[in-house]
Amino acid sequence: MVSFKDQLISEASLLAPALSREELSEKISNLIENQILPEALIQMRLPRLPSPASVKTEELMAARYGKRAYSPLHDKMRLIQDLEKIRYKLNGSDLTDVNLPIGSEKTMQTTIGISHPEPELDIERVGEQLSVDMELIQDISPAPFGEPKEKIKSPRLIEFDSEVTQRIVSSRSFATLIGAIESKIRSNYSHGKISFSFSIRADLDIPSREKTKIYISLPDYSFEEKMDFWDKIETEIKNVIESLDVSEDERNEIRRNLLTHVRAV
Amino acid sequence: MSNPRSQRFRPRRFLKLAIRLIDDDTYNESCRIRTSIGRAYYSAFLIIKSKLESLGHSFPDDHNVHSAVIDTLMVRGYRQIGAKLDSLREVRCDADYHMNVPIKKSSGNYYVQLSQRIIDEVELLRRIS
Repeated sequence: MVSFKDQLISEASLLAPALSREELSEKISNLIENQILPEALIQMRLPRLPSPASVKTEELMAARYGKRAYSPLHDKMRLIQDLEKIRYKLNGSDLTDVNLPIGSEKTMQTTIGISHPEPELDIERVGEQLSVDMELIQDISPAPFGEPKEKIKSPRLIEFDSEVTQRIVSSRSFATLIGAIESKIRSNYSHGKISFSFSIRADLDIPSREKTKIYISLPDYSFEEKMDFWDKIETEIKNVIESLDVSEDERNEIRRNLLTHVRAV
Repeated sequence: MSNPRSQRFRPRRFLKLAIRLIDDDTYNESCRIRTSIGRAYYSAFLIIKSKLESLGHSFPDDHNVHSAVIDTLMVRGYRQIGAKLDSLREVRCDADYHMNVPIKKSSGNYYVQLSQRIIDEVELLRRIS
């Protein structure tokens, strides 16, 4: 049976009789690799990333039950992030809003045939927020299909400070709460110039009391739009709190200590 | 001895002062922005506290009163007001205590407007409840 590629070469050879079949084959391969596949990757709609809280929970559960090899959410996240990074290289825009774990950097470099020495683990920095300097990646990983068109740096959709990250790891109920809110944000607000920053802050009058604050930046919104957004997100957070499987005392504790702040800028 | 109701100071006047002061070129810009934010917070805080007291809530007569008012709003289902008041309070602390935190005029205007918004929402509550 004649393959699609052979058929294509036969038809193309009629249009360009001066070229040999090998030359035509090479040109078609180049066309697919350099134009058709990159375009397909850029146009492709990727599935949503699993929430960092659920990935962390999976990681902790796997470690507990000795199932390090089987971590479908983590594998899915890495695959999506690798594809996103290829897309970034292709059209110069970062299409993901989340922090990229260090591991995906290596996978990307392997994919495009570049090897670099293994980075040393900085023990001091364990527990800090994970982030990847996109400019650094730009320097060490030449774009596989030509230079990016334009470098766009937009704020990430969601950021957690180190104390929030630590609490997600140490408290299952906190991880569930933050995971549910994060999921709402990702499904409803993953477009436009919006960013959410989760922080733990001491109460202004009672320093021993800690509150989780979600700072929201809406730089392109008018005052009225900001107020409407604020009311909407507060209603959604209220619904999340009401849906939690906790005692009434615990629910009140969450109601008191989880607050939003839509910033002026 | 307390004043009769008609002679009581009305906290909304703090907001009126904040609105006038923030644009008053007679004074140094940073001073008037910071002072306006403080007055705007106290205007909203005192009006809400008074409203909650009229609904039967009581509050401690010490520095914990600010947290207590916000907690009551958050627990009693008025999260939208509680979160806004808490944010205004946080910025008011920056304005009054943290001189290393820069506060722009645009931010000052935003938080003065926010105070007005909070008070409007509380007025609405008054009509509903």
